[in-house]
Amino acid sequence: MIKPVVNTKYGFLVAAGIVLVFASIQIYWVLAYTASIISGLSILTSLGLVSALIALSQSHQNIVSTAESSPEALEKTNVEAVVSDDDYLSIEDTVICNEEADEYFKTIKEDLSQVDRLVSDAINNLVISFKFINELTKSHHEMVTAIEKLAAPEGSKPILALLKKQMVVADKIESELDTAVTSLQFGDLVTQLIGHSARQMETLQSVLQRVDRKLDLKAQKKSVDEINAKITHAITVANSGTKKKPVVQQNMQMGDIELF
Amino acid sequence: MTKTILAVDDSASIRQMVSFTLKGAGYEVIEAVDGQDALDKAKKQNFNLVLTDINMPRVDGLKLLAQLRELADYKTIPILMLTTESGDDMKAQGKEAGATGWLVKPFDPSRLLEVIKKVIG
Repeated sequence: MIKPVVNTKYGFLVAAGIVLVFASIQIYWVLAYTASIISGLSILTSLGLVSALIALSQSHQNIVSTAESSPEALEKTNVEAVVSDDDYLSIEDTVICNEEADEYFKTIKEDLSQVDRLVSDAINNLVISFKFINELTKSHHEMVTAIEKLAAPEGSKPILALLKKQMVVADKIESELDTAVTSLQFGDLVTQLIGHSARQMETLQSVLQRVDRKLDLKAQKKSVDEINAKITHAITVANSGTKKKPVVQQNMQMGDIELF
Repeated sequence: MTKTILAVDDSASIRQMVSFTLKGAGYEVIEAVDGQDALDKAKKQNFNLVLTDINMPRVDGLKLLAQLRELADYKTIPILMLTTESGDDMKAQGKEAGATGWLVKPFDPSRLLEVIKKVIG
């Protein structure tokens, strides 16, 4: 009398087990995919900043070339530009932090926003999957317990052995879910890092726009050195002007705990 | 009697992970999206413990801590900081402002529960 009931329930149990295992594989696949996005972010940021600075240096070289070939033209531009102090800075900025560089900064910021959106979307989906797996695990546990009660004490030894195995699987999934709770916090760390990088970039762009370029048209080489020194100074100012990096973690191992 | 915890974080995924961990252990959890939201909720309801992030918009975690400690009901309530910040200077600020403890993200669910049980039982 008991056996058919056990078999029917056991069928559900096996099906639930398969769904859980499948869902677990999916969540880890997405985690691996997201980790690759994070790695790409740091490379993207570094490459972006370096490229922006190269673009800036190139623009200075262009200025020097223009000045060498036609110093009058550049001087005329500068003279025309000097209307007021504000205008002076503004027009000079166009040369120092030219449209190309501005566009480059804009592109990097857009890329960072895109990475942020991708990570946020991934984390939302992962959390939904996580909740689903958690609910399934609870049902699975309850089902195994119920079947165990129905099967005992007359239940056959093979069925009880299988149920025991199912319990082990359920416990393992619960333990993996705990690990996933730690890993799923990567979204917060990444978002904070992206925010920090974006702020650094904005500060650098702003400082570069304020670099007071005073080209000595009679000593172009010296001017290039001066501009390079000013860029270096701007980077130093940008570094000191932004908040300290909020995330120094290099992996997703749990952090320290200290009770005061 | 069920103990109620106020979980404060601007990251939805962190709030969900904290809630998942604490609710699973039988605590009631109320979420707040930033320091200001937490202050509003703390004035309306008493909590047994506050678990808060540091870097948040509007009112950050350290300001929240200082403002909560000014409220009569929160003079001695445990306030744990759960943050990515791990610098000694920041920890010292937290300690001085009255934090009960400092937990660096990412947290491990079982260790978080251990600490909370130790602090509020």
